[in-house]
Amino acid sequence: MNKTILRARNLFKAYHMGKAVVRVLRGASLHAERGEFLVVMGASGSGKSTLLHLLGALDVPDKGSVEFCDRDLFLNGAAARSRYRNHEVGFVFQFYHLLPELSVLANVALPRLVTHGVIQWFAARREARDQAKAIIERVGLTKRIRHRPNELSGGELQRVAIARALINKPSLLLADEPTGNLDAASGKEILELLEELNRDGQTIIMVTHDAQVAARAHRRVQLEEGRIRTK
Amino acid sequence: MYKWFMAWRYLHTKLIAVFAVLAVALCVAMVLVVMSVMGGFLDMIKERSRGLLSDIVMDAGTLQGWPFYEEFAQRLHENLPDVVEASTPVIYNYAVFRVPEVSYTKPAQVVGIRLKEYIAVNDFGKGLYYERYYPGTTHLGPQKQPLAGLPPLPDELKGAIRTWLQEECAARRKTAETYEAPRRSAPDDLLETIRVWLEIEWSMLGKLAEDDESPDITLPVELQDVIKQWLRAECSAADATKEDDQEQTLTLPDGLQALLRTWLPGRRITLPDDLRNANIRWRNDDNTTPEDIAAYDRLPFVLGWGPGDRVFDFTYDQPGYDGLEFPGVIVGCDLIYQRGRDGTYKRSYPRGTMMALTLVPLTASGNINVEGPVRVPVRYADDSRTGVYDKDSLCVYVDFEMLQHKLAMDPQELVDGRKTKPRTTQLLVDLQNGIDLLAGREAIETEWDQFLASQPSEVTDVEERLLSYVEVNTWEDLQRPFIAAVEKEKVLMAIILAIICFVAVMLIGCIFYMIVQKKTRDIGVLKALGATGPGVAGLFIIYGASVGVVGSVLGNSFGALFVHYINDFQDFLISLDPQLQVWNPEVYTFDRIPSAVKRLDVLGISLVAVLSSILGSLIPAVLAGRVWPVQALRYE
Repeated sequence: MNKTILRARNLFKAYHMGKAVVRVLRGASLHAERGEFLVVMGASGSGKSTLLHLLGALDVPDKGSVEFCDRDLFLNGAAARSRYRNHEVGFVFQFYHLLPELSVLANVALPRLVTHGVIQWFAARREARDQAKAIIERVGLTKRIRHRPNELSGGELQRVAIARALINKPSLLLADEPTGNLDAASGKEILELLEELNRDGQTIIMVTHDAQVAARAHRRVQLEEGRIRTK
Repeated sequence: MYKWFMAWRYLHTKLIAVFAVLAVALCVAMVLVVMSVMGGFLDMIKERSRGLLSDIVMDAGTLQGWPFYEEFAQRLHENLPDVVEASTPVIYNYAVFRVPEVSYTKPAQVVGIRLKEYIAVNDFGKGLYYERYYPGTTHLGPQKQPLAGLPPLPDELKGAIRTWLQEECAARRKTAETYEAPRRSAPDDLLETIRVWLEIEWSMLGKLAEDDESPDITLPVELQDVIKQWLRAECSAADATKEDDQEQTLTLPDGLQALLRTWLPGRRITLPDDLRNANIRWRNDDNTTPEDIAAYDRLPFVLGWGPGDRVFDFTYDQPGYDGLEFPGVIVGCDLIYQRGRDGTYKRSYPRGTMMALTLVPLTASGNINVEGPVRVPVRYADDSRTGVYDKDSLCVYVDFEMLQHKLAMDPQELVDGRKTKPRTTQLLVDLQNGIDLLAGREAIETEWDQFLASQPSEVTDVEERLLSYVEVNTWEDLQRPFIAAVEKEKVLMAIILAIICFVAVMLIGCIFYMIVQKKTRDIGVLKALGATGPGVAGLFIIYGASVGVVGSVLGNSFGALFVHYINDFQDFLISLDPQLQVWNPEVYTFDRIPSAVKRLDVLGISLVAVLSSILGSLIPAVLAGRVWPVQALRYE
C-alpha cells in the first residue's frame, strides 16, 4: 500500500475582494503519510484554512492538484468530491459548526445518513445511531447524548465535532485550529484526544498558529507567503 | 435520507416554518370555504330546481294558461309509456293573501296543484310540516278546524258518578221508608259540569292519583254547591224532607275515587281519531328515527301552549272538528312566519286557521273576467318549506280544480252555447328512471308537434294562439340562465384561486429565501459532511412540500369545520348584531347558506397547495444547492 495518502502539488488560490485580488496560495505543495499527524503552521491570514479547504475538497484551486490515494480530486465532478468529503475525510472546525436543531446524537449520526436513501431508512438510522453512540462514548459524552449544542461547553462541542468527523471512519481527519476557540484545559483535552486517535492509526492534518499545539505533531510544515516550507 | 430527516427537524423546530404552514393553511381554508359554498350553492340550485319542478315542464308563460292539457297528458301516457312516468297540471297565478283574524295581508303567488300527483313528480311533499308528523292528513279538499281535547268520560265512570249521585240523593231522604230511587238519573248537564272539572284539573288530579300517599280527591266547593243544589231539587221533587246540608262536605265515595285513580293518570289531550290514527301509523313507519319518535312523544304535550309547537287549537272540549268547511291551503312558511335565529319557525297559527285569497280571474284572451276579483276563504292545512326563499315567501298552494274554477279556467259556456276547454298554465312531466332528460324532452316535443298538427277543428283562434305559446323545457333549461351565471362565477373563482396560489407561491418563496439565508452556514456544514448540491436543494424542496402537506391538512380541516358550522357561525354573528348577517336569503334565494365539501375539491386544493409550496421553495432550494461550502462556512 502506498504510504502517501494525500499529495497537494503546486496549489494556487486567489480571492477577489472587491477590485483587489488577494493571492493566498502561490504554489503550495504538501504530502501526508498514512497514520501521520501533520501540522501546518502559519501566521493568521497566511492561507492555512484555505489550504485545508482545498485538501478537503471544500474549495477548488485556481491551479494545481490534490491527489488522494493517487487520484486527483479536481479531475472528477462535484458528486465525486461530495463522496470524498463524506467517506474519506472528517472535518473538525474551529467554530465546531454543529447544527443547532439537532441533538448531540443526531449531529454525530448525520454524516452516516447523508449517503443513505429513504428505502433503507429504518435500518440505516438504527445503524447510524448505534455507531454514533459508540463514538460519543469514546469521546466521553454519553451523558450529553440528548443535549442540544447550545447546552454544551466549548470543549464538549469540539468533542462532538470530532465524533461527527469520525463516524464514517475517514482515512483523513482535517482539523482547522481545533483548539483555537477553547481554554487551555479544554484545548489540552482535545489535543490528547487527537493524539489518541492518531496512535490508533488515524491520519490527521491540523492547521494551527500555536507552536505548543504544533509540538505534539509528528511533522510540522510552515506556510509562508503562500508556499510550504518544511521545518 | 438526511433530506427527510432535516426537513422534518426544520419543520417542527423552526418558528418561521409555522408561519409558512399557517400561510398555506389559511389559503387552503379560504379556497375550500369559497369553493364549498359556491359548489353547494350550485348543487342546491340544481337539486331544488329539480325538486320544485319536474323533469319536463310544459309552460306557455301566460297567466290565462293553455287548453287541451288533459288530452295531451293522456296522449303522452298512451304513446310514450316507456318515457313518461307521471304528469300533472299546475296553475300559477297571483293573489292577495289574507289572514282575517289578524288582518295580515301579503301578495302571493297562488299555485293550483293536485297534491298527490304533484308530490309524485317532485320533492314538494318533503317540505310539508304537518304531513311529516301526521302523514296522510294534509289535503287541499274542504276541511274544518281540527280541535284537540280530552277524550269523553268512559261509560264506566259516568255510571259510577250517576250511582254516587243517586246514593247521595237517597241518603238525603228523611226516612228509609220513603226511599225510592230517584225518578230520573243525574242529568247530562250535571255530568258535563263534573267532566269539565275533571278536564280542567286532570293534570293535577292525575298526579294526585298516581301518588298512593295522596289525600282523597276532593270536590271543589263551587262544584259541591252545584251538586248540592241538584240534590236539593231532586229530593224536593221526590217529596222528601230535605236536610240542611249547607255545611256538610260532599265527598266522593271510595269506589269512585279508586276508579278515578285508575283512569286519570292515563288521560292525555288527544287529537281527533283520524289524525290520531295517522299519528300512530307514522310512528310505526320503518323509517322513523329516534328523533322523530322524540318529536312525536312531545307533540301531544305541547298542544296549545308553545307558540312554535302549536299544531292544533286546544280547548276543554272533546277532540273533533269545528267550524265550516273550506278548501285547504298550503302556505309557504316564510309568507306567514319569521324564521328564528336558531333556524326554526314559530308557528303561531293553528292548523285549520281561516285564511283568504283574493283572485283575479282572466278570460282566455287575457281580459279580467266580468265578475271581477273573487274572494276565496281557505283553511290553513299545512305549510311548505322548500328552502328556496322566493318560493317560501311567496307561494300558496291550493287545489287545482278549485283554483281552476275560481279563475274561470274551467269550461265556460260561450254565447253560442259551446263550452271552452279547461286551461292550465303548466304541465309537469316526470320521466321514467334512466330516461335521459334531453331525449325525454325531444320525445315530448315531437309528440306535442304531432298533437298540434292533429288538433280538433273546434279549437278557437284564441285557444290556438295560447297553444302556440307552449314550450317544452327540461328543468335545466328553465334554470339555465341562473346556473350559467353561477358557473361563470366558478370560473371567476378559479382565477381568484390562481391568484391566491400565486400569492402562496410568492409567500413561500419569501419565507424559504429567508430560511435559506438563515441556514447558509448549516448548508455549508451539510456540504462539508458530503451532501451534494442537488441533495441540499432536495432537502429544501421536501421541506417546502412538507409545509404544503401540513398546511393542506390543517387548512382543509379548518375549512371543512368552518363550512360545517357556517350557518351556526352566521347565526352567532346575527345574535351579536343583525347588521352582521352575511347571507341574505332575499338576495341569495336560499334561506340557509348552502355548502358541500367535496372530496375532489379537497384533493384538488391539497394538490395545488403542495405544488405551490414546492414551486415557492424551488428558487430558494436551487440557490441553497448552489451555495459554495467554503463561503457558507465562513458565513456568520
